[in-house]
Amino acid sequence: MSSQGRFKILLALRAHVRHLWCGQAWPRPRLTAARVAIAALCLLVLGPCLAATNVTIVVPDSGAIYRETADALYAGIAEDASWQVRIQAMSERRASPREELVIPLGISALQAVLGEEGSTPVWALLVPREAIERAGQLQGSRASHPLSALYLDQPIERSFRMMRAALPGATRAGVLLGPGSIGQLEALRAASKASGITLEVEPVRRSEELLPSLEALSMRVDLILLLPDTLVSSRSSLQLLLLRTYQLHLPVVSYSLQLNQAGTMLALYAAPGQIGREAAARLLAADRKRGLHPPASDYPESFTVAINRSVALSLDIALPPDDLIHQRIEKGAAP
Amino acid sequence: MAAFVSSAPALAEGTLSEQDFLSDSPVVLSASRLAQPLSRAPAAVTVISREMIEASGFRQLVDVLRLVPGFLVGWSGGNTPAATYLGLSDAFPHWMQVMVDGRSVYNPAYGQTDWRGIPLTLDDVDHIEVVRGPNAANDGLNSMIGTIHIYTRHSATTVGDMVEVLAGDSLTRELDVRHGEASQGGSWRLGAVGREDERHAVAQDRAEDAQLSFRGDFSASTQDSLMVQVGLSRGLWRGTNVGQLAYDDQHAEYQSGFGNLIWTHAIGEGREWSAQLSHNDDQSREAIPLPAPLDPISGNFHTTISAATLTYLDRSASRWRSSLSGEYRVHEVQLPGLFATNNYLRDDILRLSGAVEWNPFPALVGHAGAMLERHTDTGRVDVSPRLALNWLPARDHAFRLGVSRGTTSLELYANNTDIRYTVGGALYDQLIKSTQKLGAEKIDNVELGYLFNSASAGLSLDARVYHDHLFDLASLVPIGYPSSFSSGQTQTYTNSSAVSVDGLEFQATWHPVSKGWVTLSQSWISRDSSPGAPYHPLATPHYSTSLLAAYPVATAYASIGIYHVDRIEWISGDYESRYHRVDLRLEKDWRVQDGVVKAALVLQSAFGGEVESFSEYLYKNQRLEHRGYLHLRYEFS
Repeated sequence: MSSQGRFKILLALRAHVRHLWCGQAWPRPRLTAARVAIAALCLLVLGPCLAATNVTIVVPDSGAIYRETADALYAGIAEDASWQVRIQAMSERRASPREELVIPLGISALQAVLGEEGSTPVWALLVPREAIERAGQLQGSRASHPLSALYLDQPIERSFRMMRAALPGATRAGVLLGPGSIGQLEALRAASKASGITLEVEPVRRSEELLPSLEALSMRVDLILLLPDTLVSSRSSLQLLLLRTYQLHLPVVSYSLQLNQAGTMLALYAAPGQIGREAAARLLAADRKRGLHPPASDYPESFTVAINRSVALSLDIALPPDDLIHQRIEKGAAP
Repeated sequence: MAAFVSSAPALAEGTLSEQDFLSDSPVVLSASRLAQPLSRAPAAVTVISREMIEASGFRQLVDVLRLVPGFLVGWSGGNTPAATYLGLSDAFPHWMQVMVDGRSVYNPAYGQTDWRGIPLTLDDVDHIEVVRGPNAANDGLNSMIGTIHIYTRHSATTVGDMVEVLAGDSLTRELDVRHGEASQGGSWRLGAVGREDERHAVAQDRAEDAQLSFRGDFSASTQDSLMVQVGLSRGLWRGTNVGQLAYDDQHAEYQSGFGNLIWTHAIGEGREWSAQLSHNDDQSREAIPLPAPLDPISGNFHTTISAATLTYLDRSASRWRSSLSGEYRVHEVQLPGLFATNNYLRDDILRLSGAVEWNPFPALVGHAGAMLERHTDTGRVDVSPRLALNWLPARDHAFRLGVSRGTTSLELYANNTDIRYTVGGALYDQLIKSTQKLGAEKIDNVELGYLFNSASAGLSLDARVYHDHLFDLASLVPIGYPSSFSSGQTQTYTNSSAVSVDGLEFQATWHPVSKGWVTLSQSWISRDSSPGAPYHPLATPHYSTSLLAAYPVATAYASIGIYHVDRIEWISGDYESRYHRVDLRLEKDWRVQDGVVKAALVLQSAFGGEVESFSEYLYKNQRLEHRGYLHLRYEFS
């Protein structure tokens, strides 16, 4: 068979996978002589595909971010015939004994997958590191599903590199550490040491402590690094935090595009599409000798820098062009 | 496995999820909340922060304006304050627009502001921005020599409870309470204040006030926010609120209420539209008996301002920023003593304004803007344009060149005045009678500004040299109408005066340590005082100085305010004043388990009295003698 013909068959298989994604019933084919012949031909040509690595992406029933991530992941690996990828909505989830890897997107999908019988390895996407560690703790020694993840978070040292790249004059960064981020203290200290930016921290144990802690911190720092935390960066805390830091003329560096649009001056994050593409690349590079070895838990390599220039202008802070900041972060070089 | 499944909810609860990273957040720093850096602003702006307000020790909102270069604060009738810029004013300065959260609070009868009656406490105030110079292109009505924008604190920043008690000399007592709450949907606070004080020991100027204020900030969606404000105040002020003190027991009962609603919709980064609805209702009751056989004059007034405003802001482009605003506003005034009728007079005002900012190069910012206003009271259309150019040649330096024209509407008073003496209801003497609808008073301004701001040195300087030409000013001229009255001095208002003012002013601030700072404001004014020029030569002070410094001392926080004003005689005042006043404040905070306790001791006029600016009748030659008060504040959750 020509390569063109083989490509058409691959496209047909891909359409089949898309059928699954759309949640439609798989059409039962009518057996005809021609179809039997084609099937035989497929078996001959696509022999290696039968030994393809079987991967299932499990997504919540709704949500654009999951679709965007799943589409990017699928597009990245589906054309490699050595992978057989299914995308399943959570409500239609049926674990298959042929699955060699399950990729849940988001914490609810992760939770559902970890509750299933079996021991299929699980590689989570769109889940923060804290949740992965918590899941590991909850599974404990009776863990049946080997668990790893491509974290949603960015590594803290990269955030410090961004601060150096965007705000060369800033020498002191302040962090409010709530219950969900206090565990990052050692990583913060290491990143601070590596970057040369002095770290100042204030604990926040209760929401009432947010403002006093911020006031105390504000006198010692040039900017605030906002870490994901269920207390410090909650929706109700965020308003107070952004209003007060703005009054104090303190720029805030955050971890999502949405927070950047809400009013933080800078944000470092990986977009859902970036996560999906990077996950595909990591899967393709995974060791599949004697079965699939899922990638180990890691932070994403990909990142996006978002700048709220309206906030920067109002704070009278001149920032370098976006691409220059990006380059400096990648090189890890001081400006 | 079973163990994990049974504890599965625990993974979602209290743990970060992708929603914490990827779900939409309400826009907090929307386009209208983001102030323009002073170095790029088209006009000179002084910002009075909450920190400065607290350090000053002032308890009356209007006194805070002493911190602005060129601003003067005077007290008439003992407890009725007035504030102006450049001087040239009587007890009813009407050349300044005053707004609280975008809502005009001036009196639409006279154009002045009843500072004491605004339902607003210093605890509510977040910061004050004072535009020095004409700003009619942006703020329209009355923004002829300056605009005062007062911004209250967002309710998210006042969650919890607060109790404050204050007591001191001159029968000063005050009790403030506040409660605030926040939830996912928004936040709100409710505050109440009761206070009494007197300004002089020998004059009848005791005043009592009660105020209630509410502010709520709610997020209808990630793009939509709603701010709701309601306030009430009631005052009993011994003395006069209308400048005619005639007998010992004269007093004014003042009531004020307002509602303000602002809906902001963020379209994207730097772009938004907002709709504002506001309503003010103010009334004062005061009887002014006259010598027999004259009938008493009513000092009563009742005014309302209702306004609907729609504003679009676009600050999304790197080189162009623009704004467009339209407003329909209705002023209604009942002023029987001055209009000789109990009917309400009405002025419907349509306002359209727009401004563009062009940033062709990083070092150059151009501004163009204009305000068009149409009044039904006069049938007049006024246009107030402005052009400005900011040059930022180096990182910490900026120059500004601006030309502008400002107008003031004169409000309903000057166009409808009918002040008369009557005996048994019959006309006895006609004092002032409006015979024509006046044109707007105007100012042409040209100014050169320089700004220096070095964050590393903690030093900033805002200097301005300017030339103002004020013309078509309303002045009283005698008319022979009707000639048979006893005084024969019937007067009417005409647009007949003009005056030129040249000035130099600066404000310098230095932050040597994080909580220690000093800010110095200085103004020199030179005015056309040639023979025949209007206004008394002393209507403008040649110079004024204010200095406010705060510094941490051991575990306390000390501040000093020094205020010095050269000789001035306010129009209609009959006493020349010149004062040097020093205020001292010492504050100590204690962090307790559930909050903060703060104690402050304030000594005002520590080394001698400030001579009151308006001096008549009981108040003649009164001085603000030194006085102290102590206040305790407990904020807790």
